[in-house]
Amino acid sequence: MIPLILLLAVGGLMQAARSFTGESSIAGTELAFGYLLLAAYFTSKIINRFGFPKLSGYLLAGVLSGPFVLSLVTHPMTDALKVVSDTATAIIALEAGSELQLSAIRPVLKTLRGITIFAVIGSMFTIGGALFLMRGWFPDIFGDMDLTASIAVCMAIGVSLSAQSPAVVMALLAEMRAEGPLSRVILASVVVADLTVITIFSVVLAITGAVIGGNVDVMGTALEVAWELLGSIAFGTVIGILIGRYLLYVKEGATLFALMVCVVVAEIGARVHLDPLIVLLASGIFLRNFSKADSSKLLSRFESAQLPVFLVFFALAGSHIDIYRLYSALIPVMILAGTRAASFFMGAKLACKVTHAEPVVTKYAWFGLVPQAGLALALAIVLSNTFPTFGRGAATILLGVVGFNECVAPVILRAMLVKSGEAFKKQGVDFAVGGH
Amino acid sequence: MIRWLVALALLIACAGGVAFAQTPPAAPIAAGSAAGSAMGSAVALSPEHADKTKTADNGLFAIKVAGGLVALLVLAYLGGHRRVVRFQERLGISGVITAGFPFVALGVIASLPSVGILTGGVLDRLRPVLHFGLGWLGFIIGAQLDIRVLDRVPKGTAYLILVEALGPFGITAAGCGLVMMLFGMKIDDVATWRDVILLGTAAAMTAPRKFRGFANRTWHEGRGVDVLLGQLDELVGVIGLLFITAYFRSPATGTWNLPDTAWVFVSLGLGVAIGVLIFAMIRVPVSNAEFLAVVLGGIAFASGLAGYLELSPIAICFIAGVLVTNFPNEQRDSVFRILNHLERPVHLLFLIIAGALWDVIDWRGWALVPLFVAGRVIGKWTGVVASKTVVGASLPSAYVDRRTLVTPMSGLAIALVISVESLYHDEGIPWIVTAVIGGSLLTELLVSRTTTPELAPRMERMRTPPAGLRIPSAGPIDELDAEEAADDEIDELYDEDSEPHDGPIYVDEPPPREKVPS
Repeated sequence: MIPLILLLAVGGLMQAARSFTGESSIAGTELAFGYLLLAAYFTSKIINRFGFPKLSGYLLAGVLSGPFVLSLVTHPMTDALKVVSDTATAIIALEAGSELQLSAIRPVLKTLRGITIFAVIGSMFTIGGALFLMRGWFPDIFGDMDLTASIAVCMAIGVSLSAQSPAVVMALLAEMRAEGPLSRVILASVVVADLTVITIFSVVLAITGAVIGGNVDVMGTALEVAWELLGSIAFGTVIGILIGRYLLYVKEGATLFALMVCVVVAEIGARVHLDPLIVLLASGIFLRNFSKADSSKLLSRFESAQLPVFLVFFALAGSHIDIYRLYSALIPVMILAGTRAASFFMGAKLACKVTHAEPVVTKYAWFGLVPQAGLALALAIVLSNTFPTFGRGAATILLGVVGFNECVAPVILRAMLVKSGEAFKKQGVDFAVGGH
Repeated sequence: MIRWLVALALLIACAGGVAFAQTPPAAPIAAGSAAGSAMGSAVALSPEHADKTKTADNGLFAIKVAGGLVALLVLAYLGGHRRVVRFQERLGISGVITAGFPFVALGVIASLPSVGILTGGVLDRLRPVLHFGLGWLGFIIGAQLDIRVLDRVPKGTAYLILVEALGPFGITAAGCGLVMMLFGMKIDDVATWRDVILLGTAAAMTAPRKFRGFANRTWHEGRGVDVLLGQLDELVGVIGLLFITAYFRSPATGTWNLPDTAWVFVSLGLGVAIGVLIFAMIRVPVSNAEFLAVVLGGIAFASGLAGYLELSPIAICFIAGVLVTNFPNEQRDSVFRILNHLERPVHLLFLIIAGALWDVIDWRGWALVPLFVAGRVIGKWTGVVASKTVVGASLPSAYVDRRTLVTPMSGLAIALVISVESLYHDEGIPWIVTAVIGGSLLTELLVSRTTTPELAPRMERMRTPPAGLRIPSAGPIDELDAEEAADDEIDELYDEDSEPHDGPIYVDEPPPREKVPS
């Protein structure tokens, strides 16, 4: 009851403030940040009482407060908060990388490879195929396209739809304090899958551009992709070395140092065509596996202070969901989401059977691939901006499926983590010594 | 110190990143997440976009960034070196501006057009962070004000505070106002009145001789009277700011058409509403991580609301802070723990942005500096003489006889001008920023010159507690702050200005070199 009253009070104050001026102002960014943080927190408290994951509460707060429903948080506000979500992505990547202990992953390497090939790459073809069969439903995309172009576009959308969300998985693992073979495989598989999707998407996008008549410089594209992947990994390793040196020689202020590195990389990385996600993933993996410094303390501090980051990041993601558009395209969206989930299910089961994975992994690992958030949204925007002829329509489908998965996937993944017996096994790390 | 250096350097690097982000990208970059942005650039749709040299440029820039981070690492190592810290202590550098002057100077340098890091656009993007910092400052100042102490101060203290504030206020405002009119400001221009009131308010606020950070200003029995009086002085500043933002509003903003006085009540009401809200909210969290989220969100929301309504985040959050910690609750310590956590980044940002906003080239601001400092000293002298004459007999000696004329300016004074700078943009604002920052710097140098030379070694000795003494610990903030927390506690125990904690409320301080003229 108290969280509900507080949520209404915060919402009321926000509504009052918004009535002061309809124009965007500099303070609006901070207002939106504070509001989303509080609204997401109290909504998650309410939602959690009904057995839903807190993550759904964060998203719900964003959906309700966002420009498409109550419009308490406007488009300019969410645009101005992009720096927050970029930084959050960087922090989550660093944490995800540092969770990946290669020695622990080595035994399940075959399973990971299998999941990537059968489930992730397989799903690209399955979703692309399903979309091809359904193309009559989307005249704004495939209107007067020939067969080859249709196949290329279907593949581009299929690859985009196969993207996962390390952020959602990280947030749920943290919320559920899950630990065990399933959690390790899920996290590792979404990280590997994300890298795979990013690489294949670049290639498919180039091919699609060539097929539909764009003037594509293949060599230039290859160089760019190489720079982004290899350059990001190299730069990430350098960052990892720096953080490691800092931990060894300076020690004090390491958390602040690492946090600021995330901000710098998030801000600069994209501008120099390095992928901050890969940069920080590489840093985290280096720190965890190759650095002499003990990064566990730094990362546990980081981990324990991640709640505000998750709150704003997911609330912002929720604010991008246009529920009216989602409703109007619900049937095709559900079919595509169902196809996607089914291909992950089949692919992961097959991979686990072939590689003799542990029963708990075989049973539940597939669902770790289902959640979607930031990357898929970003790919939708890339498609929309790159191909003005069909990009907007494609983005609508993508956003619909991502929105659907954002709403549904966390709830099911939470239930699966509980069923697997890995939930609440991790020792809780709390922020600051001497709690109240 | 080490954390300050690190955070400063990284903030500059951040700003550099933001500055770089302001420049148009070389290739079409999609909006969306960072990953998406990078991916957008992966597709080169035309040969001119696929300029191969771009990749080499990117590599060079990435190397520069990495090199910058290495430099920061070295800087952090050197800055934390014991010798550097000892050297600073030996020089008696402990004021809010002198101790942090390298950061202010770096802010100035980074904002120079030839350097072009903290440009106007970048500063605009940093404004929300600045607003948050101002809100945090207001909140922590309010939270540290224990209103029960006000019932126990000796009779006549209110008069003393008022007179000692009115003296510097009146003389500084009058003197600087006259000179500003010589520079071309009009007497019938409301901006002139706003600026002189602001200068007077800034001059009225004092701080203890040693700056121990914004989060270590709570006055308790046994602590030096200057800490208490400084805290009460800051009330004057907050009230001044509240009135400035109510009575000097931009005419054509917003849809609420209220008379100026109504804005005073809106400010008070908003502060109380937010205070009650945060008070209720801090009862919900079940873990410290949740607590961090609620306090962070509460302050951001409060300062965002204030900024959105074009009110002062400092004043609104001050009221909220007073309410949150003075209502009976068990979360008080946790609130302070969180506030302590945020102190360093906020303090650094505060100094850097103060430096970046400081227009050091406009000579008219510099012309106001000596006037500002002189007005402050003369005003203080007038106030001290007046208070001694009227209430001197009824106050303990620490309150009257040993008042010093040259007292450091409160950090809030600088926050005040930065707060106003973000609300108004007219000719006189750069002058008053220079007057206050420059005046603060000059004052702190004067303060260090009037400190007894043997004080520094004495302070050094005092830092070593006698054997067997148990240092009270409220729980270190984290592994980074543990050492400094203990340091502060020792500082308090052996403060040159303080007596043991169980001493009387009226503490007689050791006589400073400079005496009040009788």
